[in-house]
Amino acid sequence: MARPRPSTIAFRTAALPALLMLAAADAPPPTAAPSIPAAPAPAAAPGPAAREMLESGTAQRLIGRDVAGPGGDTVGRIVDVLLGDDGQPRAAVLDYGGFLGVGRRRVAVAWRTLRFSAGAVRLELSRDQMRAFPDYREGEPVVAAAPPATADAAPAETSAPDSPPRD
Amino acid sequence: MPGTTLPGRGGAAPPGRSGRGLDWLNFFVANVQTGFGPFVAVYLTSRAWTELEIGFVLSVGTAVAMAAQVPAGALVDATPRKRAAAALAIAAIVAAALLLAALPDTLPVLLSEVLHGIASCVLGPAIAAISLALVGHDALGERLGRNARFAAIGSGIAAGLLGAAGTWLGGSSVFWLTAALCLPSLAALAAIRPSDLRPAPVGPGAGASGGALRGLGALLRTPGVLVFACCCGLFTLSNAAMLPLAGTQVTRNAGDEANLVIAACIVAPQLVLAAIAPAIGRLAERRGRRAALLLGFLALPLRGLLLALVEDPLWLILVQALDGVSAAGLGVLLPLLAADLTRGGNRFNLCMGLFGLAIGVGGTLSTLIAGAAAQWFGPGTAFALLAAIGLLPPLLAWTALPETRR
Repeated sequence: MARPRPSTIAFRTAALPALLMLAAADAPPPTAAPSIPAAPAPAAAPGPAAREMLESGTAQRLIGRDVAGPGGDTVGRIVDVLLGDDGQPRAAVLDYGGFLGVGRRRVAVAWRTLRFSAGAVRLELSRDQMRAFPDYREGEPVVAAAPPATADAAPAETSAPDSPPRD
Repeated sequence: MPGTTLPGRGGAAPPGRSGRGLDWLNFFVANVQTGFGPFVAVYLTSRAWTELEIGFVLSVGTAVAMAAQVPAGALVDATPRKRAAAALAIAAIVAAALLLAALPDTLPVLLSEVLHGIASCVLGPAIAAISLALVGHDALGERLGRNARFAAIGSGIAAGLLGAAGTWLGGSSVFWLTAALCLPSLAALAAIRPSDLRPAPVGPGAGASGGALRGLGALLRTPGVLVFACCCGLFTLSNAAMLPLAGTQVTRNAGDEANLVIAACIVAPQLVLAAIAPAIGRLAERRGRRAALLLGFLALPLRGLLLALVEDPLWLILVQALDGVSAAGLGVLLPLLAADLTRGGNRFNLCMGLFGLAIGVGGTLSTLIAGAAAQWFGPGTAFALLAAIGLLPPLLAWTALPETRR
């Protein structure tokens, strides 16, 4: 299955030698057919992808998920995730606030302000705390909302991390 | 105020069964249309649609709704069966809502937007045509005021109901509910007796599409039509972006009560509209169309100016309530002027379609202009710009619009 592709790439990049190689490859003795084309170092080919089963309910999609505020009511939806160079999420872009779609705005929130639990994402910043926070605009330096500097330790409210009341 | 429709008021007979049917038709249709607003974007966002995809689908819907205005108007003119046209449009809206609720994928949503765009273009003129056929030209102002009142109560209630459903039950519930609310709309439509409807006078322009095209040419040469179409376009250019912009301001500046404030900003104008729309209709009957129109139009630049100045949420709600005055002005006067300007012919709905097209163009440009202005110069400047544009419709109406009352 993987055979045609390398040959066409070679054909494009280095036409003449490739043509020769192609001619050689095209007319192999029929007995040599099952041989794996010249992989220099590793003798053992990697096998097919392993299948990792995710039990239903143990993993959820992220984009579009509702985000609840500290009070438990929906305050927004995740529309994008900003990753660092290491692939770790740095911030989430939220479609925040509004009523019946009127008054929504885009804000970025630091990843650590989101608490994930079964079936719910919670933003640990209240609407009051998000007041006057700058909008997120693509192509501009990102300002992400983070927990206030003064309250490093968990604020009094977050005493029950593992009881997500989900309707 | 709500109890003012007593017998003995000059001219207009008490509504009767057909009139009450029309009342509720306006109420439920306004219910149904509320869900198809900006909430569609929220719903699709929660279904992992990207901004680009949402923008594309909604633009297609807007474009179809604009393109269909004039042909739909001609269609409603051409058919003697206005009730059937309205019923068909409501059925199409049911389909649009069900598609959104059950199959939020690209093609079904696209189809839903197209269906809804075309159906809305038919439904508005059809309801106006039924109103005209029910009460005739002489009592139309008052009837349209009543239509606007019931529609306003309908959208106010629906905004609360659907907003709560969207928050607590999830996005698709809004569209299931919307589809369900089409059933009472159909029942209300069925309550209007065909025998109570006087057929429109058969004039030039009825029938074939060539007639409709010629009708359009004649319409555009009628003094007042083009002027009022420009008024409609400029009005919406100023008006359409005000609420979204104010809503974003509220989300930005208000804290925990932001959603309540926005809900109030949506509902307050509907209450004002419900309270004053019949009075606007009577004013148009007694003092003339221009007076009623100017009153409504002048509320718009005033609102824009105040929105630029006011920050406190409570004041914001009060300022936003002015929207009810201008909405009553336009909502009652648009069909009334269309009826006046096409008196004796059969181009009422074509004319409404033309005004609807102007509104569509204005609304599309409005969000673009206001969005750009808000991004570059801040929301205060954007409101001031909208207010300045809002000065043009009353100016234009005052200087160039003929009085059409007889």
